[in-house]
Amino acid sequence: MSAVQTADPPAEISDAEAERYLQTLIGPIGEEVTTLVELGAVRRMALALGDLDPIHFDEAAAKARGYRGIVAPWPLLWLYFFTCTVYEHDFPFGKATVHGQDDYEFHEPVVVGDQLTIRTAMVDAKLKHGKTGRLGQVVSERRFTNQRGELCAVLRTTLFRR
Amino acid sequence: MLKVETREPEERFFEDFSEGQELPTVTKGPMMVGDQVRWAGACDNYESEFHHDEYVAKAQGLPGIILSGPLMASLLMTTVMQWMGRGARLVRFFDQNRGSTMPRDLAHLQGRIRRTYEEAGKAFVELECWITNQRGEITTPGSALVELPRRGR
Repeated sequence: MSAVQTADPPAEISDAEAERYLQTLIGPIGEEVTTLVELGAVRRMALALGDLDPIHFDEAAAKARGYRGIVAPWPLLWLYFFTCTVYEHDFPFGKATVHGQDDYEFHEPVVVGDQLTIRTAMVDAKLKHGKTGRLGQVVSERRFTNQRGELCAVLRTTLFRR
Repeated sequence: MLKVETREPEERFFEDFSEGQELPTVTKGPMMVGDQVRWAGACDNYESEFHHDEYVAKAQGLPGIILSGPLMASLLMTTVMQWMGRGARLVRFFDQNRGSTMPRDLAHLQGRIRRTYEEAGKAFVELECWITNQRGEITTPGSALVELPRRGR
């Protein structure tokens, strides 16, 4: 019986090919999604973080502090990150993708009952060479706006591909 | 639904902060798998099995379950808001996932005022913040920009 020939692992692509690939990622990712900000979601996130500020639980307390309604803690953006946007990317090089860092801008507070629209785009993608070898770095940006057209937040997430 | 025993943050003003001022350390933990599971529930995201299944984590070459980076950053962000008080408005926040937090690790949340300034009639505080574990390793360095009310205005 002849030996079974196993397929070779895919050859590692060149730096130029990796750079070309990364450039193709730049631009919008997926379609915009609109979702309702629910009271239960706000409560769950606040309790998960031990954030007991009454503005996250009590409408009267929130309005007394000048808000339009019960205020979503800013980390609730992660609920919409995971449920409303494409956040995993395929890379034709490297072995592992690491969530490196996040940069947040905050504007109009998000309150219960808001219709939040999320738009995602890849805004930067480049190849670097570090101590551990070749490193892909991609930055995706999610912009969160409410039903009044107001910008609520911008979240820029950097992933590293090693 | 049971009523939550809420706690309003202290009232603080721009004048309460000065450059170089250390903020009171807040210790969370020991962090547990339950903290991660609760975070996963709040995010409705259970896809990364290594965040809650030790067998899978080790099979993937990790030393064990790793708590989510955004969870740790969100705890830090929440603490920043506690430090800055109920009248504060968070303008920017930045964090890096530099080191892992594993079940039973402690998380010491620390901060220092980097700069205080006024611009266009508004008062701002810039601070650096970070999480260290029980071995003194910085796992989550970060920074924040906060707008604060002026006392008596």
